[in-house]
Amino acid sequence: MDRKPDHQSAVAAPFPGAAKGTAVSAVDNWFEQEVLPLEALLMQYLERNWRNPSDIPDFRQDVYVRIYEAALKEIPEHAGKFILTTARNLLVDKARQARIVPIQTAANLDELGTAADVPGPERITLAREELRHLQAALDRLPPRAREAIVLRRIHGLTRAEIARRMGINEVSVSRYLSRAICALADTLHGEPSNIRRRP
Amino acid sequence: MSQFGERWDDNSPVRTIDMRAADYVERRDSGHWTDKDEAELEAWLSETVAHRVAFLRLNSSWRRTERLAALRSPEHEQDVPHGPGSGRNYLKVAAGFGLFLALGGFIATYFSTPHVETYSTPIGGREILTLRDGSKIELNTNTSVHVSLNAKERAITVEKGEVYFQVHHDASRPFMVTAQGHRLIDLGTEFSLRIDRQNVKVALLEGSVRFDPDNQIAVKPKVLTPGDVLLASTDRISVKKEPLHDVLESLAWRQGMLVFHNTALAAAAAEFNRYNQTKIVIQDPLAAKETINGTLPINNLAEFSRMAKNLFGLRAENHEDEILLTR
Repeated sequence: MDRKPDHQSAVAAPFPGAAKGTAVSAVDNWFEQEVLPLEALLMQYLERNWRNPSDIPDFRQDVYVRIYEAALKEIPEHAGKFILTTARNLLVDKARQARIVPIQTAANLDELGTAADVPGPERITLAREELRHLQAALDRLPPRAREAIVLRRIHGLTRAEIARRMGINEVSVSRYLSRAICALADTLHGEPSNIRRRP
Repeated sequence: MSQFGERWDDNSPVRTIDMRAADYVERRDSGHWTDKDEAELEAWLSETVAHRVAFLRLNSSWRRTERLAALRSPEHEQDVPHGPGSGRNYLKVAAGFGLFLALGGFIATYFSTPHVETYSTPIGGREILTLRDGSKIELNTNTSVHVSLNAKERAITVEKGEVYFQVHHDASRPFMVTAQGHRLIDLGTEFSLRIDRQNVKVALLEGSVRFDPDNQIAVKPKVLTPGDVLLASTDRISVKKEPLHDVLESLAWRQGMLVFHNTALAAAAAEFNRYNQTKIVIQDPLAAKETINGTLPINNLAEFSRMAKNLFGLRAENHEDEILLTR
């Protein structure tokens, strides 16, 4: 049987500052299970409230860093609301740095509250739709990156085998794979997944 | 959302971190990952929170792409060599089967004497056999069949488990499937057959098939048409029409998935347990009755536990050969 090592709680490496607050693995789990699934919400908020789209990936990263650091002290109760509050604060800071007067960033936090009213942790994905979703994400990749990730993930080839098949060296293979992984993450986290539960 | 095209031309710090994190994520899951690599990763993650969140994010979506394996079709399998790390289960008999095929081609079109071959899959296994007549039979987990082909007939006996048949119709050589004393005679068809204790379930996708019940049941033969789902126990038979869509979903195992619709958690666990040596036991009687909807990868125990935790707050206790889900 195909038994891969279980990478549930991604890493339990010690982290400076972790000793005082919440255990890192708990924060990792919270981040994965509560924060990442709401990436679509975060991206939507950033895109609506910031004019320059090329800043958005950097801002997303900054928001995540702030959220993670805050969670090391104490895990926030409402992930959705916390994400949006953090995003708003970040935009305000950025606007200040850029010396522009943000109009939309002054958005009322109560409105955010409604936006944050997203499905709770009851999720199981409908794989038919998820597969369609994944396939669409694959289709959006440039051809070489797609080829590499298909060989790796669907056919289970190693880097060396992929290099041979594609007629390129292993360094190039790893670049293609990394790009594909980043792009798939954008698609998968950036769009709401199909989730439901019937009572 | 940022599109792929605009992401790769610059070398901003965030991209650099993402690329490196992606490299770790992929290598860590490649089977070529040493303690030294792990130490290196841990050091990198400890440098800054930016590294850690990038890694968590990419690792999480990487795990979700595990489902892509479901897109793997048998046709693709044939033209792609398998790496050592691919971890597919092959039948022990597979090599012998190839020889069998080759010999069959050399000796004659048909064997004149009955010749029985047995094929089986272990728990979690899944195999597709192409018979000499062009028919395909796909064995699900923990399944065993006997195949006998000769000039007059093609006879398959399903000993246990579940099989999906794609029959190459040949009026001069009926294709007969026997299970628990019941017999199916193909009239050009695609169907599945599953044995669960004494019960047999047949679901028809295409064409038609005649069902001759075991002699002990005084019921006339039935001709099944697409969408028909027949259930035969030792003493009774029922047929109901289901939407083809539902029939197809019950065959999601062919893509390595299980689909649940208003399925009690306990029933879902039982279905899941057919595919895994490690058994899931739901210890909370209330949660066991709760129903779920959705799809799970067939051999991903961790995904099942995670689902039970997220939906019902159940805690997973991992034991040697079972996972107890408790409140």
